Amino acid sequence: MKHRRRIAIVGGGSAGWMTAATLARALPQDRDIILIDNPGAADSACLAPFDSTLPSLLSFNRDLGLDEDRLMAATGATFKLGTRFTGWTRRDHAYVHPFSEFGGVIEGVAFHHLWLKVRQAGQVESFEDFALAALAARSGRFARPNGDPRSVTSTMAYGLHLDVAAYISVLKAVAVRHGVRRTEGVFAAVERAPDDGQVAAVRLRDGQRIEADLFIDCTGTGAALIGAVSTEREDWSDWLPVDRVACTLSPTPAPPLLTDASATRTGWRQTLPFQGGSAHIDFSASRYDDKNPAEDASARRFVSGRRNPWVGNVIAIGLSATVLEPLEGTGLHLVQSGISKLLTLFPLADATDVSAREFNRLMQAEAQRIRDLLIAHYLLNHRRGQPLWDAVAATQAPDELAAKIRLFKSRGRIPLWDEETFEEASWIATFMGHHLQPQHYHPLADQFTLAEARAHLDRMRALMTAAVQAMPRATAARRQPLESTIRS
Amino acid sequence: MTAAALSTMLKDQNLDITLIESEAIGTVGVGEATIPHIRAFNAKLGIDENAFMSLTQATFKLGIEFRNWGRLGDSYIHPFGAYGRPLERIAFHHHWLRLRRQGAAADIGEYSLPVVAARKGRFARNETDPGLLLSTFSYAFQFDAGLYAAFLRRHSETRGVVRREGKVVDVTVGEKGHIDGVRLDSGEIVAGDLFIDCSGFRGLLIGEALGVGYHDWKRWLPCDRAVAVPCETVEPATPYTRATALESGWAWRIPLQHRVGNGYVYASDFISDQDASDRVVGQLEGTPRQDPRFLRFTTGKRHRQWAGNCVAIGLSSGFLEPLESTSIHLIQVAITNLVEMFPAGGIDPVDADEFNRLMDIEYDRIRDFLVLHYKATERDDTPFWDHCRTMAAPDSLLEKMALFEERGVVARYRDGLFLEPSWLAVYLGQRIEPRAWDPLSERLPADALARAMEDLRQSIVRTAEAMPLHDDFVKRCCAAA
Repeated sequence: MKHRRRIAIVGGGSAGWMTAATLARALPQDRDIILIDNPGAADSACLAPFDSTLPSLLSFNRDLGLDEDRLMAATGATFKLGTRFTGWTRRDHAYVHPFSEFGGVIEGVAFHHLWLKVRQAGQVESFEDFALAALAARSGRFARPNGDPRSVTSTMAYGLHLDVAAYISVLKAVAVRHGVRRTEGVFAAVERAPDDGQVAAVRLRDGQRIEADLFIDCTGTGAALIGAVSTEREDWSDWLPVDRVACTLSPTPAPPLLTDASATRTGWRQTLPFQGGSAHIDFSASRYDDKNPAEDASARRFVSGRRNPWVGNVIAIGLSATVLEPLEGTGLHLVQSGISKLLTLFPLADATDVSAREFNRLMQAEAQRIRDLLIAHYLLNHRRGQPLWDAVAATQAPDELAAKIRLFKSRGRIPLWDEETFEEASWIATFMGHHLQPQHYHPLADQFTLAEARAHLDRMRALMTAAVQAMPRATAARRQPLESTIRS
Repeated sequence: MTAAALSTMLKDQNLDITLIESEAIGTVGVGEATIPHIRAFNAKLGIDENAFMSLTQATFKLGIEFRNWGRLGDSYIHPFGAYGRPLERIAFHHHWLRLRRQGAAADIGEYSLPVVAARKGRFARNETDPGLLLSTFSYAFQFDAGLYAAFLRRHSETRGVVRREGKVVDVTVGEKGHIDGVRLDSGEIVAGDLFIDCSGFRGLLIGEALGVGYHDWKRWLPCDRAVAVPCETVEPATPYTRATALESGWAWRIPLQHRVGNGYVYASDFISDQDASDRVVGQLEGTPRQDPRFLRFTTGKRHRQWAGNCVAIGLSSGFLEPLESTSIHLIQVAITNLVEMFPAGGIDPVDADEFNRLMDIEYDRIRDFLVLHYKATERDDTPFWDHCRTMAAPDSLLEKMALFEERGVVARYRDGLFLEPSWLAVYLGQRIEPRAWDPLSERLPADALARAMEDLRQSIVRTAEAMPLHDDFVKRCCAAA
């Protein structure tokens, strides 16, 4: 039973250290992991120094043995219940994509069909009023779900607003404690084995030469290593033309519990609430922007798209594999999912490329379905008369997204494909938020009279309102020393 | 099934449902073994399980025994349930492969409660508490499909379905390629907004009237005929179906309360009807209850299962041999998808596209799973098996097999009927030995692992032995009147 034992992770940042920490804990004792850190480089998974995550990161942290309260205290993280999208349709309109189900399924009928039925007959509360996470965020209240699947709190999840550098410090401590070696350097070139053409070693600019059996590219958008072994790349910038990001910190507090994503003339601005202030991250599309060069110099550039992440004995994780703006908070999620698939398909010593094909199939599907959700925000915008927004509204949706839009419009159905990160509720929130209203609700909703449907809505509202009232007001934790974070 | 489901589930749509059926045309009754999903279908229709079993002479089913598939003399059970439990988040079979290589593991079936219970002729309904071994399986039925059809007819008629006796002699297709109506041999014309083609292999509406073509999959699934002959019961009914590979196909054995269903699914390129019939009659365990009945089929599926205002359900939509008891399931999936996409607001091609996409996935994935049974064999003792062993297989299947052979990983998809345990059952049961297993499993010390697996094996034996005998269970809960 031989697997690739010597592993070189090229590039640190969140992708590099998440990978290092997980592999060091998961692989058998004979592993030998070295991480080639490049402290001057931009992050390998997050386009901005502050990140708004999905709920999935919490299980990743738990698997690493990190205590959540201590982690949050050490990094100054705050809770996130979803994203508020401001100005993507009418300029004064906002909607929330909550980490939440809407209402509850009754007799096999999804809630939105009941809501549509009641709405067709007359007045009804906004759809968002039936999402616990949206209601809690609006009231500024938060409590972790209590874990009971029968409780209404089980319909809700949460993510984090993170200081990326602080998070990396925690990951680094875990990795080093589990035996990961660290060196500093900048990737320069690959050296191929003469027999099979696989990468035998990487050379760094300072002359260091590092041999390994498996190389993981965590060099970020530059994709230096994977780019040296394959030049193929899918470009998504016609659908997603935003290519520039810049961050500013502000002492002005932002409303807690939600990330705000406000559409601007040339892109969008993300605002993350932290204790004692907020982070503003401006994303813009340079081809529709005329910023002066001085202002532009401080911005980070990127191009949306993806590569096949596994080529030979090189595997790209993070931005070196997939570049997508963090409109839905997927930067760290893609790292996490790459690592988890890597563990399932961990490279064997004498192997065909069937594992690589499977890995690439899954990662491609996953990246493309996330891409589709991002495209939906642009494609379905209502901001007329601004070049960026007119151009993206005129693009043609990828087939899977086109099918989602068609079926939702006609009958409120969301078809799902392999490796969807976002399940039905997220698509419904987005489509409803962009004023895409189904023409028909599901015929099965007719097993309820209008009065029964109305009563079900009222019951859900009452349950959720009571659950929110029982939650304490959200307060940000005070930052604690780093050493207390790691359990084992 | 369609009439019963639509009249129950869409009762608030004021549908006007007519079912046209001719007593002069026989029905195909091979689909007598089912998979657990049928229980959800019956539950949706409000059918009481014990009453249903009693009315259809049903027995319970924990899986299918496959004999002589990998090699002559081999036997394995494809159970409705999992093997073991994950340890350290790594699927059980990786640990098993590791110990197996050291000669320290028993047959994989010994770590599956439904396999052990089936071999011992024992049965109990599963529990829901995930902490219990009794929650690690599910069950289905072996029943008389003719009695089920009669039962569903009564169910449908009490819910307003009108049955018209007669044969369809003409179909009127309008300008948009939609069916306007059908004329019966009585001269009566039945009009409708939506037509459901349950005419069987013939595909009277979808094929003959609308001209929708058919993908022929004979190159991958060479069997094209079957001969069926039920016999008297001579021993207590087993809680499983049996599929025995014969010289030019395979034989089914489905024990019901009042008889045993038998038949031979064969390839006419390799054996004559008479020889096939003699072969199956020659191995009957009891007296035959009727003369052998022959069936012909073309394995494959319609290019489109929903065209215009016509939806094909059942054999008109395609045919996959009943090796994994999927015939009734495919009907059920089509009905579920039709209800999901029901054109209450009028015919919209968007609905048909989605219906067809989902049915294509279902058919293609089951097809691959069936082909695996023929492809994964070492048998070269007859021309038929030599052909199967060496034939081309769909690329989608070859890729799945390559991944499993390399490292014991079962490819993951969102949709499709058969999940990891099913693929494992057939791969391992038919001697596809992975060259490697999950390297992460090496973190667990081998002796601790061996102890944990032996404990599991023993508690499975104890749990199985504490279950009632299947025959007693059936007699107590649901004996036929």
